[in-house]
Amino acid sequence: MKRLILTTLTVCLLTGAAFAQSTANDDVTVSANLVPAITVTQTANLAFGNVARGSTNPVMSPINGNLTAGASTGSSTVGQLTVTGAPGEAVTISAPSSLNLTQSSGTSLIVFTPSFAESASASTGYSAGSTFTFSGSQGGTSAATHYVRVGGTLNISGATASGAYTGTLTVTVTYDSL
Amino acid sequence: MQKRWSLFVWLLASFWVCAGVAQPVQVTETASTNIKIVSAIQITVLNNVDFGTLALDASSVTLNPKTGAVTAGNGAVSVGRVRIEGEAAQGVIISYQAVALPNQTATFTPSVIGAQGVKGQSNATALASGTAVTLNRNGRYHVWVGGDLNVASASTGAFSGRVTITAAYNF
Repeated sequence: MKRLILTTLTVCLLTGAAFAQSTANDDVTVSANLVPAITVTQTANLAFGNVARGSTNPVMSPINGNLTAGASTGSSTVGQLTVTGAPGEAVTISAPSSLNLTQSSGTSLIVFTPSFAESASASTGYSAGSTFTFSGSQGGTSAATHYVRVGGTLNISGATASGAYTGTLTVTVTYDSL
Repeated sequence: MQKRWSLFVWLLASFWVCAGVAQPVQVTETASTNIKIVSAIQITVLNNVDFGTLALDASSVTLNPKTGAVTAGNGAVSVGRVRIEGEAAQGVIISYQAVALPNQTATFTPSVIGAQGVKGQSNATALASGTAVTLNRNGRYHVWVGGDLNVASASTGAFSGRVTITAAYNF
């Protein structure tokens, strides 16, 4: 009977880094600053009132809502929008350069050319223009409020039929840098 | 005569007994082991992911890890960057997992790319978690992190997220 004896070779390393680290991990952080989207709410429609055919086309100022040319009777109101968005951010107002106002029946139309004014206050301080910057500091996450008025010019000719004319103007407000 | 015969038998028996209970023969063998000592693997985060300022008017925003381009926001972004170091030319498995931190209303899905060269970002290879790569001759491999931020249901405020990246030797 023989016994086979195996001697095993045991190696023990007594060094400073005896067992090399074979796995490592670390974290990459992810960040973003989320600010409000723009909202646009119409609070008053644009109305020229009763306009007479004449030599001067009616013009409504978006700054003060007054007719600065042409003649009108009855109530006229400037169009009004309330816009909210991220504080400190610049925006641009855009709309079609002209809009055809039509009658409910008939083919006569009136070309309307819009113009805009903006203010940080609802009733005062309007400046003509199609750009503005929300109040407050950039990066803020509570929505700021701004106001836009819509005026414009009606192009009425001697051939324009009498009657009521309506149209819908789509106004878009867009962040310049977001 | 009989006594001598008995003695002989006795001696013979003794011999047999001794032979039957023979001492074990020792045989020694050696088992050789090969041990390769390698550098400890290290991972270093050189840059974190930042999407900059985003307005909540898009459902999802993408940060391209190759180019640094972002599909929305003010563009003040940064692509995450990670360096893996270890034994030259050694195989490594890279795995990663996005960690959703509490009270966050946006969700982040990482897009990870890698290359042996530190200047290889624009041509880097897309890495699914668990991909095997090879460290370069200097023992390094470079990883960049971008991804998608889903803000469809998000609220305003600061978003915080985390991607845990693991590198393990692939012996």
